[in-house]
Amino acid sequence: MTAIVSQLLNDGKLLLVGDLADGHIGGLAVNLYAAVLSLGVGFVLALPIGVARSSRLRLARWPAQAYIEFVKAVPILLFVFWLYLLLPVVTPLSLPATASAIVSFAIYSSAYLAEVVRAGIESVPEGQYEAAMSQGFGSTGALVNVVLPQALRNMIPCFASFLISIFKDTSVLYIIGIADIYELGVAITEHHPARLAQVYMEMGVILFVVCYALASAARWLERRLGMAHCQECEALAWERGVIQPPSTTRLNKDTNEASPPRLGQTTAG
Amino acid sequence: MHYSFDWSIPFQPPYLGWLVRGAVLTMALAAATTVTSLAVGTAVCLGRFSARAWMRRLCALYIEVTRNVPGLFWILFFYFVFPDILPHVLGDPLGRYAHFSIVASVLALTVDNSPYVAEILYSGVQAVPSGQWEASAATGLSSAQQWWSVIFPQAARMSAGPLGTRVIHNFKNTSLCMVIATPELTWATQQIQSLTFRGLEATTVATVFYVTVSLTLAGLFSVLESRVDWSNT
Repeated sequence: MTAIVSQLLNDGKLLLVGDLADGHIGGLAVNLYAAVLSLGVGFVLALPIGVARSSRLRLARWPAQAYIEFVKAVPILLFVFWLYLLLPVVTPLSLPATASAIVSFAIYSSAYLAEVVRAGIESVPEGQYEAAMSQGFGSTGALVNVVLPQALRNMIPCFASFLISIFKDTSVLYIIGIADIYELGVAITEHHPARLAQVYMEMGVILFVVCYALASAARWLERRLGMAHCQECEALAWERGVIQPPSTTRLNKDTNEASPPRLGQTTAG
Repeated sequence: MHYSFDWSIPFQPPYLGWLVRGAVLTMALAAATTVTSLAVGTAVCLGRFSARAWMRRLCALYIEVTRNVPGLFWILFFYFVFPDILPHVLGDPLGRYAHFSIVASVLALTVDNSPYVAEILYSGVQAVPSGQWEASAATGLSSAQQWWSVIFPQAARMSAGPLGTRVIHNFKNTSLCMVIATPELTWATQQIQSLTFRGLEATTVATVFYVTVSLTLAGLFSVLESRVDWSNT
């Protein structure tokens, strides 16, 4: 009994923070760190792109749209490989694998987050912008002081749900050989082949708990802040698989909540 | 850093062959798992409307668990653990099968993609107006007939757009299967990188391929969606 408990504790420590004795943090902490950093840097990159995307000027809108469509069309794993090889060639930077992967995640996130920024901006009523202009704000001043603060509030639940999807994508770190939770899980099973199923179970439970907790937080934020004006943004969160499809559920509220008959029951009559 | 490109590498044998076979396998994996996850997703969606409470709970649980665990976990799980937990009669020959990595990829991508399909269809069904249920019941259709000829066609049409984006996501996710040495396109680029150090050319070619297919699919789905005659629904 105590043997199992100490096994679980040992595995748990390895999977969560890695083998600290070797001087590096690893395991789940690396995945979470990479996800949060990508979200942060990605948002900074996404802000100007999203603003350009929602601009009236074609010259600003089209390059932003091309960037978004291009990045979204590439698998994240290939994107990580590609940038790792490409960056040293086109820039003077020569980054280590982890840093290069996080840069790739951030660029990848920026394409999705730029859509969130655009949707957030579009969720603010046009009148707000016009009113700000009439008060003597310039167009930049109106955007920065009036529109963006309101837009940001609407975007917050989307960030929470995007964090889950980028957290799931950080599994790519394992493929490029970084000691994240998957790498350590596989390493444990290599040392103890007899405990194969047990270690995968532990790994699966940890991953599930993280994603489930983040999803619950996203849903709570969504209820708390309301996403009523941000349809695009909801649709995006949902496309990435975090929140239930919004537009259709809303449709359902309009109809007088018909619950479909259960399969195998007779409904005629 | 000075780097001189050598674009002949990805276009000469044997590397060209690897890339082409990789691209074919990528497309095949994407197509196969689109079909299987549609089948599993439809079954799970129907299960959520079952008369039996345990069936509804089981399907909801399946969605919750599979959706909250990353795809890479499923790939590793089906490759390393699945043959081990099966009875020996089944597990041993499966684990020894020469193309087992492809089988594991199909299983993993199906498990990864099907909960989203089930959720999309579930919302589609819920969005069908209640009058449709009442009218079809009033005309004397059985419950199975109601589902098959009235509700599902409408639900499928409402779900078409979101299902399209899932197809593209699933296509992109096939690249993760390289981790278990499934010889698809991303795997081929890494083979070329490790043998020739010309991975940049190879990954660029692969990037062009993925972008072309993703954007073509996105274009196709949007044409398809605009062609759907909504007045008939």
